[in-house]
Amino acid sequence: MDPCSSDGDDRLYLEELVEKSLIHLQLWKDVVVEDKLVVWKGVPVRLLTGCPPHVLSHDEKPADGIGREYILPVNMTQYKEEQVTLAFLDIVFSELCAKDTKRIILAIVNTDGTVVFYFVYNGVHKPKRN
Amino acid sequence: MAKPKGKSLQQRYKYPLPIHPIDYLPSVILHNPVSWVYWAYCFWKATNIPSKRVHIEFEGGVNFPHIVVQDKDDMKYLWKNGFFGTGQLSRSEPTWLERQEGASKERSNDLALEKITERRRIQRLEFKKERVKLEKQLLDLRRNGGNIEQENALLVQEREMLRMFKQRQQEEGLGDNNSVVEESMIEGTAVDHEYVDIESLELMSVEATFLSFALPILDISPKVLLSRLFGPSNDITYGDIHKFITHYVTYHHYRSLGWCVRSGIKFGCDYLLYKRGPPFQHAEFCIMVLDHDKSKDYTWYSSISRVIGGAKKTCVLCYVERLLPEDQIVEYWRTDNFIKLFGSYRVGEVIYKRWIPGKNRD
Amino acid sequence: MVNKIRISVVVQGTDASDLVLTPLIFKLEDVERARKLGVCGILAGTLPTAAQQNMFLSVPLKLMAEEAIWLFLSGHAEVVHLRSPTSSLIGNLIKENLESLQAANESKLQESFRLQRQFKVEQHRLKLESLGRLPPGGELPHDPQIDSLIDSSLFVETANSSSILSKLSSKQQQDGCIDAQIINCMIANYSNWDNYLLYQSLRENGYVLSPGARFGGLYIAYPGDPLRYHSHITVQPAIDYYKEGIDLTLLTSGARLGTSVKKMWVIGGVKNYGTKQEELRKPKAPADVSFFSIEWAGFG
Repeated sequence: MDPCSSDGDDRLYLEELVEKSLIHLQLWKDVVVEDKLVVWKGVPVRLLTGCPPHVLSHDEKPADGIGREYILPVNMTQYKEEQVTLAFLDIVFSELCAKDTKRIILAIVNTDGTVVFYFVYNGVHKPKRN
Repeated sequence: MAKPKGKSLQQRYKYPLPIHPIDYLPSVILHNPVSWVYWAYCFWKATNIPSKRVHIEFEGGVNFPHIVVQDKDDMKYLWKNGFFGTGQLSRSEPTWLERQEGASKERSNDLALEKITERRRIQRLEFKKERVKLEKQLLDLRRNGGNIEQENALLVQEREMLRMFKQRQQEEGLGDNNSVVEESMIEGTAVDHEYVDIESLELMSVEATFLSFALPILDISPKVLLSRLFGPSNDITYGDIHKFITHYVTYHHYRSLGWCVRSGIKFGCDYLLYKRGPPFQHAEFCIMVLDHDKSKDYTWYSSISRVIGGAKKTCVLCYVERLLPEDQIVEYWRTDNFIKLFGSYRVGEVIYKRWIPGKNRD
Repeated sequence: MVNKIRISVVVQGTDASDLVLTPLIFKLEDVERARKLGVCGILAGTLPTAAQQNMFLSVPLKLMAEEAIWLFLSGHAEVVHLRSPTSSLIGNLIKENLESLQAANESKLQESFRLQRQFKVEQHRLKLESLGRLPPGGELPHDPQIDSLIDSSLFVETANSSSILSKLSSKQQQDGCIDAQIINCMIANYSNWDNYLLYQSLRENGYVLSPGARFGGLYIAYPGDPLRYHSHITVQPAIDYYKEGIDLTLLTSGARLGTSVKKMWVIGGVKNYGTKQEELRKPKAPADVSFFSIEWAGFG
């Protein structure tokens, strides 16, 4: 099997799983897989965007309303490590996001099929107000 | 938490594993020899091997294969008999379809875990909004040059109002906000009130291995399963399989001692141990799988023990020791001698706990 | 010229491989100055016969290696060498100066007692005056009972800085140990230079850093003095910017802990592989450090 296409399969499945989870479990709206893609270590990487059902952090001014969020799906397996390096995150911010994007959401897909979500801010950032 | 009564739970989750004891034997009547013969016949005929194997599919690419079960009954069977697998659209038990149907029927007294969590979150959000509002008042006061007494009075008022707000929320219980959740849940998923189940049950590779190697449940042999996960056995090096083996050995170790073992990823550890299973009680132990001859830096131990301690669980460091040389293990892998292979490891456990002198006097 | 902060480094071990270097500040004024520069360290001094809880610890101030290196590289501190075992060195010094030290201590003690007595007598007089038992400005009658009461309430004051340590350091200085050598030794001994660069970069951005082991990190960062601000940030050990994947299990647990203690889980690494260590050691060398801050998104 062509290794490149199989990596692509991994990504496609990841995107599909995270999309499904966002729409049907987390109840997000307008979830789409973006077209823009960057090839990282031979693997094509795309982001998802969508709108959460309510404001995610309270530092955002109410005037902003509920903004679209960027979501980066990654695999977490117990036995192999996907290379989410700092260089990779820098590239995601610079190539796949709008200019001056402060944060993305990292969607970690576990081996048991669950997806967990984390904010990743570019640079040193204060924690959100609870 | 809304859950079925203890007795029905006992009924529903009667078996800790998919293999059941032979439980349909006729009674023996001592003065009737025919019944002896019949009993012996039944015993000889009986078997506890499941009549049908569970079918699994591999999804995703070669590097990160996901093992899924799609058949409704199989999903239920694996969950009911030892809590194997996780629903991809649920927190653990695959309940997505029920949730959708439940939402449309507005059955509010039988709440799925997901709904309760979601409601609590919404309540918390509203509480925070209220707090922000009150804090803004305080800020305005400060800006307009209010004195300390005014500030203090406002603070007391604020605390009282927040307390009342919280109380009101509790009294309403899970009342008002339901409709919000349920409406949004229905939206976009219901097609003329018929639901297509889009949820599959996903198995961790250790679970699948256990259900194939240790118990004859899946319709796949350990050899085929492991070659799907790790590639053809001829190209395997020890480095490729070491991590998997130590994790599997640990999983098998606790499963065979009667624990229900599930992924511990939410707590940053490898496994959670439940005495019986998630519906019965919270997990008591968090397992970290480690190589017996390697140590980590102190930051690592302190950080995991803080997380686990914060969740009121006990952290178990599980040291796995290989008893045979690496090439011997690889040889067993190639020749499918998995019994010998997994038997060549030893598991040792240590409980790790942060000790606080002031709080640990007894 | 203002004197530099004096960092005394205790050296233990004989070999380069098992060398333990502990940077300490003994002078109270130096502790204060370091703190104003955002170097807090940890007070570690106690009496050997009456070990104290951390709340009551006193000088010396124990520094993280990063703090000592930063103070030195930014030109705020000089470094002197205390060869271990320090106790035998001090022992010899004491032996040599036994009589003069004793005399000096005795006179200091008597002086302190005299001042305390004077203060207490005055306090007593004022009290009687306010009760109307003594005319304003009146003399206190001599009463041996009151004298003995006052004597029993006198305190023995402990000095803030050592009277023999200055001798010890200058003695070492004469032995020809130059501070740059010690700092080089410390740098060479330092396990991961990238960690120092993270430290430096955060310092340059106005953060004050403390050891973070209690919070599951390498450092915790405060936006100002730790007594005035809460810490919002746990900094992880540096990882290789290009090659090392973030440990997602660690990220999960770190972010989870972060939510409960309101701290951001921050991870960073150094870009520009080519940069030589020598270059980076210069104060204010532009270390190209990349940080990401991670927290639970609040769902999932």
